[in-house]
Amino acid sequence: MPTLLMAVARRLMTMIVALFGATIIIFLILHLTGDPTTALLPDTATPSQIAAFRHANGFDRPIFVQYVEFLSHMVRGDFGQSLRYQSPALQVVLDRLPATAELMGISVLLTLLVSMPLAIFVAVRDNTAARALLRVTTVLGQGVPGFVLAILMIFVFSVQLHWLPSSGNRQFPQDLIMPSIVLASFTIPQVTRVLQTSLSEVLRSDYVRTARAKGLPPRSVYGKHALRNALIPFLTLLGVQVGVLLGGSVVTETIFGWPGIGQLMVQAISNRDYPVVQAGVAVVVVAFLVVNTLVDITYPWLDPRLRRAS
Amino acid sequence: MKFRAVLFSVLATSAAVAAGCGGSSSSSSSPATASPAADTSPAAGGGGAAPATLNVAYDQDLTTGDPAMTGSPGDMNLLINVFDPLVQRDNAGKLQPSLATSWKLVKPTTWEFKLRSDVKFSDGEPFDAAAVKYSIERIIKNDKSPIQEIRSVKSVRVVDPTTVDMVTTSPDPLIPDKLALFAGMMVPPKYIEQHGESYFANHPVGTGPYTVSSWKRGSSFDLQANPDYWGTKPQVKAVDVRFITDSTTRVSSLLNHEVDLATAVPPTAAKQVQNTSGLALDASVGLRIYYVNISAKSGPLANPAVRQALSYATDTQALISKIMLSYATPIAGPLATTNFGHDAPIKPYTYDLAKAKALLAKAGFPKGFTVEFDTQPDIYQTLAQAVSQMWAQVGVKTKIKVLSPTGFDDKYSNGELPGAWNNGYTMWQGDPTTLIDTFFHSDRPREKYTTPALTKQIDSLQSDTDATSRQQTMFSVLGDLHENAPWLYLFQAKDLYGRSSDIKWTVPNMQLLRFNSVTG
Repeated sequence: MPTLLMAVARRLMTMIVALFGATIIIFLILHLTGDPTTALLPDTATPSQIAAFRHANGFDRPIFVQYVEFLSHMVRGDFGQSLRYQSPALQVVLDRLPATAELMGISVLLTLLVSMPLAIFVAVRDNTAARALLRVTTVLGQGVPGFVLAILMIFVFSVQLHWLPSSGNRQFPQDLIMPSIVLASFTIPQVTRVLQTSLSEVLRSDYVRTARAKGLPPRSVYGKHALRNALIPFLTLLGVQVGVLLGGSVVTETIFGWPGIGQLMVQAISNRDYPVVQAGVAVVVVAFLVVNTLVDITYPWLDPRLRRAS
Repeated sequence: MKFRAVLFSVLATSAAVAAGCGGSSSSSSSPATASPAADTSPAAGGGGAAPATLNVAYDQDLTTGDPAMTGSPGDMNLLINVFDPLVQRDNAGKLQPSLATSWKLVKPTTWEFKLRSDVKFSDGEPFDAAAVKYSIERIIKNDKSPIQEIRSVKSVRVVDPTTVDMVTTSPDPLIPDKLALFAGMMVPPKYIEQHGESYFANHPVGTGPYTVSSWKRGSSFDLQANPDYWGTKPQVKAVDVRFITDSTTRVSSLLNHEVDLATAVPPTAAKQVQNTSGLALDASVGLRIYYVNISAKSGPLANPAVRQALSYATDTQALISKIMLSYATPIAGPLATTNFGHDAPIKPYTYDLAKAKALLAKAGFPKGFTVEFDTQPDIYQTLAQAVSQMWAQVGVKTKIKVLSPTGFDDKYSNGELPGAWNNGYTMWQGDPTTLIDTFFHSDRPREKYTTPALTKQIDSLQSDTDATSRQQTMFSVLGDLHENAPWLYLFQAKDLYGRSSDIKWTVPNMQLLRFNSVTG
């Protein structure tokens, strides 16, 4: 157990450093491209009105001063007031978190449901037809951009067949089907390939050959000996893929009118709602790191050697 | 075959979304196929009863419920159902009574407004002169409010419960115009003081025909009819507005009959909506004008003959038919067809290459010249590329630079864009004075063309309270801006709405979605 605590503590440290790094980068990128005044005020504002507005919002202070203030508030969990929504920025982001979490959760589930059987099938069969199937899936999945797939699906399943709602999140669970398939299409190809490669490697190893020679049933050979050992690179990749999903959610949520963080970020960036962008980045970074910490924690469980090592 | 045709048009729509037609307030309509006369008249529709719930696909997200804290016409288009302005504009662009029954200039710096006495906010609080004072002062005393146009108001005086005086620092003939939206939206003082500003922004209460029953950020905005509404009583009892910013998805939701009404239908999807049974397309004249700035302080663009040449070298009709698919109207100056001054004696430049070449030769550029041309993605980039190809015919070469929208915005606001650049402008005020002041007054950072006489005339437009002499000045200013051609006036884009043929409504020329105009 101390190992686990150490791992979590180490991860927490990493998280703080990463969060700090991410916020400073996003702060600089946002502020070096100008302040939000021009986006908030109408074209007709006079120079003196612009100056007064800038001063009232503190945009006229040196960027260093603004950053220090931002940081001192951030450590207290205060990202400031949204410039558009008249609510605390963090609250605006957290309100959208459940929708994104729901979509991502279903997409991860979908990735597992498709990737695992497909990878196992290809690795076990290990013939030309199986590899061709994998290649087709991978090329299609990686080659067709998410927004094209989304539009084609809307066209077929909403406009032509009238089976599914074209957007929104008001008809559970029908509304989840198309966005989660589009989002999973970002991750399925890569995850399948990694699991298949790692499984194929394991299947060629000596201990599997030994297991087979001992006459163990295939289920035991594949399930207990092979799959478990092939899972570590798979889970690591799945953790990283959460980042891909978060990125993919920007496109997916915008097209499907899904009220999650991805859609919010797109609007906040174009509205120059800096506090919301900063809070959004922080929430995304924390979510990513939490998931990857959970992945790390599963390693010793999957590989007893890691438990003994400490 | 049909499948293929529809698939193609869906993909064409999405390509248009990716390549152009960005934003919301930039759609238009074909005079040949849609109803051009819909500009001022109610659209046709089914004769049945009003639907119990009206489902609407709206092209933007509502950012705030507090009308004093937004500068976005996109927010106003929805908030008009919850709040009423003091003064309203009818579909022809004329000012009409709303919460104020009449208004007049009692002194050069004092506008007197008479108010309705039978109006209550939906929480029961009475609407009176004190509420007007509160609503206006709330804006002018708050530096963080993006509403700038009524900063000329010094104070608001309550004369009696139904009379209020607005005192300005200098004469301002445009006060009633400026109170037709944004600053004119009346808010409930007691409610805000009791619950706080932030609560009000999230739970808006006004005097409008509808009240907010639920608002899911980024997703939906649900309204209930206000049974005590003082004006046209809503026939549709519930309205469910969904925010669908992606135009392909928005059109799909209409084609799938998930919604009864969709805003900002892109021109590329217009035919598809028209050809779908049970759906209809409405086109309104629109408020957004598109232009190319072609004036500069130095170089060839400082020469009026060169600017006239570029105006003659641009085939705006081709832009309208090829890029806007005819869903746009030509314009002759920096104003919309419903604006004050629209009847000025100016005509759009005709397409005349020979004249353009002769003018260039006369100006000393017989072989043309090269000019920088800044633009931003979507429709602006498409227009910039088309215009620069036209200019190439007379030897004028362009170096097009596509900036990010925010990057463009910064340079645009500070007047730092080089040579030529193009943009659009939404004329919600009904009077082009503010726009003309912003771009052609010598005091403004964006000014690239002005003269002392023009600046003097703009000052007069802002303070002259005599209607006749003001109109003369406006005509003269518009004549100057036409002849000296600091801008290439492209067109005014129509707004396209897709709707179920079961509903009937007044197609909004001013973009305001008044749901109490919807009947069965």
